[in-house]
Amino acid sequence: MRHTTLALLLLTGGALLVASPAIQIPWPWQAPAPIPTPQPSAVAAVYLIHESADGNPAMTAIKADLAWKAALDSNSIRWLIADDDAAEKSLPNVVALARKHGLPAVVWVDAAGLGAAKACPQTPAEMLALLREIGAAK
Amino acid sequence: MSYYIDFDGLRVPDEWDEYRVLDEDDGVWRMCGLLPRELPVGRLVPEWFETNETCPPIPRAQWQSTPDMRPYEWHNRYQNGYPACCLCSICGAVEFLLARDGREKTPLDWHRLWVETTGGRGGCAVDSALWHAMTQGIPIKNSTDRILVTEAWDVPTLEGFASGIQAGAMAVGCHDVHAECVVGLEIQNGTPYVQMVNSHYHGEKADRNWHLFRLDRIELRAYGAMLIREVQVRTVGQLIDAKG
Repeated sequence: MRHTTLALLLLTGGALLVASPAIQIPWPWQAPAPIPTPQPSAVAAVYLIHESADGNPAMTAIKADLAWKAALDSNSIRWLIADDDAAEKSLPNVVALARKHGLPAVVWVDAAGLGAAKACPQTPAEMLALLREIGAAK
Repeated sequence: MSYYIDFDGLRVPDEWDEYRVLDEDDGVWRMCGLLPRELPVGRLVPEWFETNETCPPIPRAQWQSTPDMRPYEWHNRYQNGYPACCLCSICGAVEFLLARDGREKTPLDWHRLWVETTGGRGGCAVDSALWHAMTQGIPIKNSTDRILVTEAWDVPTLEGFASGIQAGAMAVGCHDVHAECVVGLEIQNGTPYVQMVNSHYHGEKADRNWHLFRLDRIELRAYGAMLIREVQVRTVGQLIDAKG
């Protein structure tokens, strides 16, 4: 009979057995694991790149502010304030990003090494808000 | 003034008496060690306002206090009876820059710097000391590497000095045979003061190093005032000697 050549199904002990071909399907049925969607990597480092000749009281306040540095420290995120010329040799890609965006700029690098930049805020509070926005501070 | 020192009379030769200053507060003689500037403004260290790298001056009416830098103190520079105030002050300015900007906290050896600049025989002028730091570098404690001061200026006016501090520079201010590290500006009832960090106290008394000093008491013509804005760590082999 054609039907006997298709399959012989036996339901025993919660397992669905397919006799021919001999494939075991788990029961109850489990949905396959979802395909992971790429998530942005955590921020690994934050750089404030500036031109020291353009220094002003607002920038000095941001440079000396402790709150945003403490927020990064608590997340074990490295931070550095540097003049673009002084950092050019050690951080060429970071400096290039900052210059492309316009100085002064905040550049952050994720765990995968990908960088992004935004204009440097005007106040320490805005600096902290920016770090929260990019997920570097709580 | 607010000076206090655990003075080690055995270490201090008689000829160093000229570097001691009577403390106005308690009548005690303290070791300072500053010599009059070697040359006029701008001869050894570049003059502020003279290069394209300087910040625009800030009008006096717009002056404002700068943030408190006490949280950034991480290394005491106690001059311990040596007439090395301007060397301690230059080292202090650099160490505060390193801490504020998140760079490696590198302890500087002010004593070796003093020996290099004076031969270990007395005081030093701040312009020649900073010129040494810009050409020969500052020795790092327990290391052969040095820190080179790459951006620094000799300031011709108190307005320029205050502007540079507000623009983020650390500094050295000189007065009364003494140099002190300057880390900020403080405006109180319209009167500008500088935030000074002395090198006369250590241990439990270290906090007494911090004090305000009237800006107009800084003696530009006699001793000088210097701004320090950028430094680089270099090995000795990378340094370029100055022309003789």
